[in-house]
Amino acid sequence: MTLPRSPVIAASAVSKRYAGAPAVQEASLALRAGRITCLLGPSGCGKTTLLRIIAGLERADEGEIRAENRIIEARNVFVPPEARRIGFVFQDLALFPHLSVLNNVAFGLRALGREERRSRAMTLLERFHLADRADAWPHSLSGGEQQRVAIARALAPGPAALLLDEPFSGLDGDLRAQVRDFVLSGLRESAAAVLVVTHDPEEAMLLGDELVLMARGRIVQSGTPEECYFRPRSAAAARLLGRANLVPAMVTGGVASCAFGMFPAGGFGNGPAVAMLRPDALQLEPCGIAAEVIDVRFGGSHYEVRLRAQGQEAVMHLGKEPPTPGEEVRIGIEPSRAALLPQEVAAD
Amino acid sequence: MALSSGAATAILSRRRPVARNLSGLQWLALLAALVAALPLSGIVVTALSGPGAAIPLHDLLRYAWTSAWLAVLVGFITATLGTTAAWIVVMQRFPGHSFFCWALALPLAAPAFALAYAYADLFDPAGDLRLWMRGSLGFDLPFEIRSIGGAALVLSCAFYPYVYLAMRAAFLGQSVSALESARMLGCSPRQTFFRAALPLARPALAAGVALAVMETLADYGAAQFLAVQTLTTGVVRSWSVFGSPAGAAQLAVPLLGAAALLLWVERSARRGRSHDAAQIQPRPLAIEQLHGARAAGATMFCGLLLTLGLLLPAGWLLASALAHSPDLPRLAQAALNSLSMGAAGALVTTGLALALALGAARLPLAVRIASLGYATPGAAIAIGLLVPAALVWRIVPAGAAFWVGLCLLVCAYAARLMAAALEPIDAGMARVTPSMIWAGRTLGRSEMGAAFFVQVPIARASLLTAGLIVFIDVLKELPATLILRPFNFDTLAVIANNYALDERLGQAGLPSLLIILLALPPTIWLSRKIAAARPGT
Repeated sequence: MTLPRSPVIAASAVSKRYAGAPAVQEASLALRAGRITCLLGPSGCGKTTLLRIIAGLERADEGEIRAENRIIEARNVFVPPEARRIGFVFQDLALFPHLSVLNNVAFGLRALGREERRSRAMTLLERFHLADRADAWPHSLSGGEQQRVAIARALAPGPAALLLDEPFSGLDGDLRAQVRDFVLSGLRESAAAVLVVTHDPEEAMLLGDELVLMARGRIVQSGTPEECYFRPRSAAAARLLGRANLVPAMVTGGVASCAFGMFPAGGFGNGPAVAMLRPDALQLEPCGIAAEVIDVRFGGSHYEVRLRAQGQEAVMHLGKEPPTPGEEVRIGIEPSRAALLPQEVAAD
Repeated sequence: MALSSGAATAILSRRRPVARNLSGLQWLALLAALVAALPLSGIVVTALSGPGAAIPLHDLLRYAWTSAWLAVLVGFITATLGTTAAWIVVMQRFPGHSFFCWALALPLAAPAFALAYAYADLFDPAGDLRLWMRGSLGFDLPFEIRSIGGAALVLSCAFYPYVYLAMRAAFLGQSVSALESARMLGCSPRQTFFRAALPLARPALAAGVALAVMETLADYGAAQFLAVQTLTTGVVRSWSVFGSPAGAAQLAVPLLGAAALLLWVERSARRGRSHDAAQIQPRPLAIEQLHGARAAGATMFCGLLLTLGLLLPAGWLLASALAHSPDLPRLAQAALNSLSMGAAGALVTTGLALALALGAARLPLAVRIASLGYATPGAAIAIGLLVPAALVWRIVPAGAAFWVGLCLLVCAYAARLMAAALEPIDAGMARVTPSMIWAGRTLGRSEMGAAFFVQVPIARASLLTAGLIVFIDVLKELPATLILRPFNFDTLAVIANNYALDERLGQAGLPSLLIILLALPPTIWLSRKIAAARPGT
């Protein structure tokens, strides 16, 4: 148990409107040194705007931001981006085409002497396994290499916080996973507080020590990936992290029951609620509830089985031996992968 | 992917910058706009300050009618010549093709008045050519060079490259599928040109012709020498002969109006062009290899254009210059003056255009003012500067008068040519994405620092291009220099004009040739660079 350190960046109730339309509404978040926070949300939910406000590339209409206990953004305070000690990795990377890889990384180190600049930049290039490309031009690098140069450049001045805007969106499939693992270890070595914006839930959970979920300009939940995945606070939060079956449920005496089975209701009081069942919360159980198989699809690592029971539909993931459509199966609920939502937030 | 990141960039660039007050960069841009605005407002102020009508209305109407008629003729001829040349060079291969690609732009090195001197001499009714024709061939050309028609021909030879360059770029970037669709829908190659390629390139045609017409309205030296009384010759004459700045300014006001109209045409044409540039297919055009008579015809057509625009007049001037003994010390001094003014004009104008490029994102009016300055004839700009000049003269000591005069002249060049320098700089700056500037900011540079360590180095090649364009235009500039130059300060253009007005054409030939010789290397460099560039790079 480490002592709770004060956050490096603390944004509170930040709001921003564009031409009257709200982009960010009363968003609050905290970034801590050495921790990676992922800001996850659909396109256009305001996450990039929030990131740009923290960096000072955009002004907030309301709210306050502190960095290392100094106010950097408030109604009458604006610290320009160059004085914030915050690094930024842009979605298009924004490498300077007129500078070599080494000079790109050294760009932010002008306070140092010539030799020191060079050696500091080389150290970073080594950390990101780019030392042999130091004299190359950015356009001659592969996508993954460019990615790493952009991150090394942002880390070079030793920022207190590093913000990354969709850093892996330009990469595909396998390469994306490779670069991500690679960058993760590079980021861990720096003590900076890191905020990564992404719209890919899997990436957010793999990368983040903490998640911040955003929808329609508002932050809907924050917490560890497990908390957010298994204990979403609303339907919107649940859907952000992957498929979720939302089924009407009734709580009686600490037990929730719905069309697909029963599970412990935790602290929920008696009455109607909504069950949030991840596709892997549904399992075949010889003495479970009867459900009709409507459709079966092969998804690579699993089969996706669409079920109907008592007029409700749900999707289940099965590892092997899929049933055939029209067949009747018996199913139950794995309690650790199911959650209850109050009825009023389930409609979000 | 490319599409979505492009859209993201567009959104980013639309976002408002951080600072809410004017930043240092924006103050610099404002200063640049002020330099351009000063003579423009000066024209209006001077025109209003004079007696009710310093110029009789019927004179003004006559001048305006001549200017308009000349503009229409030059517009029509340059459109035909420039479009034909561009189409041949882009779509067909023939002997000399790669040479003509860039060489067809070379007449831009020759001032229009040099062409006027040469052709007036060549086609003089009492000249050797006409005498020989009457004597040996027994007939004469039904043609008077000192007329509106003659002036239109001379100016068209000088200005067709504006249309050629615009149309060449448009044809290179045209959609292959549009041409192929036309063929599939039953058009012959000829019909494809008239019904698909030409209509598609209409924005470029409008922009190119607008430039040629702007230059026509701005011309003083050629029209004056060919005895065609236009608004611009009227401006210079009412100032130099009648000593009436107000009269000159009243003639300049319709020119200012015409400039605004042409600018509007050129800008709206440009918007259309950038619109279909987004739909370019990256497939190569169907190039036709010409043989036999058609190949010879293409080579001859291009050769004829280059001959009429540059080789013939330059050769004639050379021949007549060799027959006279030049006043070498005077020529050398004038050449030095021309070079110095060219260099100073290029430095100041490029600097101000750079300030506009860096700081005018939130001051679109500043760019529009600079463009209006470009469309306005130099004579009008100079008249507009007389009012502010008078204020300055009152406070400077007599000893500094010479240098103040030179500064005013550089101001006039800057006001007139800032937009011409801005265009390549803007194109160079287009390589800098908004996020590169922001990256510079988050890496510890101020707004000014990011401008000078990110934007300027990335766009530095375009600064040279801009400087050379201004340098060439300053060398060729006549009316503004004539009006604003300090006493006894002669440039090559000024002494060429003085000799020509004294009907000493042999003497006028050499300074004109020197201008061509000085302007030719940068023109060659620029046109080869343009010819090598692919659309979209």
